[in-house]
Amino acid sequence: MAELKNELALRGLSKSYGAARAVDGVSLDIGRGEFVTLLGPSGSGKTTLLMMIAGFVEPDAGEILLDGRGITPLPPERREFGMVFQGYALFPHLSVADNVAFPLKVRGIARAESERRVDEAIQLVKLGGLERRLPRELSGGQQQRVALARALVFRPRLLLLDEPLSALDKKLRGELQDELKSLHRTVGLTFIYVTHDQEEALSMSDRVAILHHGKVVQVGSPGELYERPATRFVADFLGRSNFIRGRVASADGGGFRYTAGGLGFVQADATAPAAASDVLIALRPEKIQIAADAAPETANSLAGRIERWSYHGTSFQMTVTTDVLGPLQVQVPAWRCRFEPRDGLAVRLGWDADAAIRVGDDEA
Amino acid sequence: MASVSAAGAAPALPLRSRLGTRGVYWLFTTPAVLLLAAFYFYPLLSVLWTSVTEPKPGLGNYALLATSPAIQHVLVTTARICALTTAVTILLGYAVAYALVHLSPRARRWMFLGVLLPLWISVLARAFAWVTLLRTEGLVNQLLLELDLTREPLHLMWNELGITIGMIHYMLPYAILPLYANMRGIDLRLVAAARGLGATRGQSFRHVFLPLSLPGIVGAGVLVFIFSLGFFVTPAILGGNRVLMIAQYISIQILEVVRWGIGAMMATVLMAAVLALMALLARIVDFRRLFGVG
Repeated sequence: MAELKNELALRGLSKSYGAARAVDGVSLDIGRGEFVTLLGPSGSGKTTLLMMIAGFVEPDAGEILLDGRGITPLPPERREFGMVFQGYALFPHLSVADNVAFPLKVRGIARAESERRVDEAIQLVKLGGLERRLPRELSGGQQQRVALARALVFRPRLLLLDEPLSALDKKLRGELQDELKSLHRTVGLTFIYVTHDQEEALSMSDRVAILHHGKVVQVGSPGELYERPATRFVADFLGRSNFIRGRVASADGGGFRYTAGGLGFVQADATAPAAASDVLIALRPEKIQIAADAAPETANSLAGRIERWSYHGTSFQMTVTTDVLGPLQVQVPAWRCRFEPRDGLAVRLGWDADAAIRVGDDEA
Repeated sequence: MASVSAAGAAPALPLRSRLGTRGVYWLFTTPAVLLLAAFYFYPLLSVLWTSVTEPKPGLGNYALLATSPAIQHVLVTTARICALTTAVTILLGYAVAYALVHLSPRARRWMFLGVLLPLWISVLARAFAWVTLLRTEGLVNQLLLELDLTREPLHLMWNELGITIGMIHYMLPYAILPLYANMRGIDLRLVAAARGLGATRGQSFRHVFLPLSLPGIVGAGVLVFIFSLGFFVTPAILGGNRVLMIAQYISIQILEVVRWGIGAMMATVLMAAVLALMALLARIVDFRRLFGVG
């Protein structure tokens, strides 16, 4: 495993446009064969960061290392990175085959070899039979595959993808996510993927780096990020979350007690905060148990009243107003909801000590 | 109020309801149509008529195209000057248009002013400006002599060179504008994409930008060539009657030697050539895109 590490290393990359810091001291190691997603809202710097990796944007500070060698000053054409552009950027005057052959043509690869590899790449993305078509004669999904084939045909050192699925409708996007993932397994190449779509990031990536205001807020596997968000921003951006502001009452090795709205709660935490410090607790809507009659048998519980609710087939979404903590979002699997929700119904909410997580408050 | 006007006499029907909406628009264009008919189509037809009736009925005038060395010489000279003008104009215009699409909006505004300004200066004024620059004792020759780059003044005008220089200068905006309109439509991200796929700057230009700008080159080229064919003032002044292009030849036939038939025949040939080129152009490029409409 040691040799797999750190294929691409970003060291303190920064880029400003005027007064705006688009990318602000980003360091990130990307291992060989990894599928890493740069996730963030628009304006978070994810695309600028990708463009620096690709060589289109020169960083103000920091460096980019590939297998330990600095590549920061290299122009894009010398980096040998495959790239799928936002909107695909297929050459409108070239056929599918000529588009895919383009990277080989500019590298002066002999015709026979080029034809063989173009054919291989076109088969890989399942576009056989469409070689002579022009890009405008293809559907969005097919264009996306051409862009992929073109980015892979010259056996790049890694593949950069800039929101490749954002132009497609939802159903097709789902199919192509699966295909991209299996393609990643087939070619075994490092994929660096940029998106603002958190579901896409969670379902496809080995690791996700979350960017916010040009900084990497947290890096980790999708599960880690979802279950253990480091900050309020991450908890809010990946999925939804309730936030409870409290003050630590007492702490021991396994967790701490805190008070919020005058009521006491318990929270599991390996690194307990100092007594009397302020804490922010993130609580996912689906981790709250809800009952209409008896209180749930959980470490924390409180009373509330259903303010709004909606049915989503697989689940109920409810907004429950509590005297102590204000409104809380609750999500219950429809088949496990033992009562019929209705507006104004008095309910009991509960959650276990390890159902919630303490997060850093980065939006104070 | 409503009851008062209803009780009054029925108002005269508005023009629109008598003619229909379309009829009104036709009415608007009538003056222009009448003007064109009287001062454009009628004279054109009479030119055509003259070319087959003067001095005697028949196609005798057109036979001269095959038999008269003088006429053939005029046609070849015209074609040569126009081809050279077109080639150089497109080359220079392409460079300017390329710079225009890549410049900042601010710099672009200033450059556009520079491109458009000459359009408002009379062709006559510009031809004479070139005379002061190019004549034997002109500024260019003085400079070359001062710098010892030449011993004898160069013959920069009263020949095809002078005509071509003057025509290129006049034609440049007509090449730059359609080229620019075409280049504006090219997605510059494609050029970046080419580089991301391993192409050098030169390769990106050659394999991506240049092919995509080809419709603009062809369009601007045909346009400049067509305009050049009918040039009169510039060749007359900078050619000094030593080089005859077709428009000047026609003028001489009609005004000086008074051979209306030959003049009319040449005018008809010129018009036919222009129409043929326009038809060719229409097949290759979309006119509206060429002029940046829509």
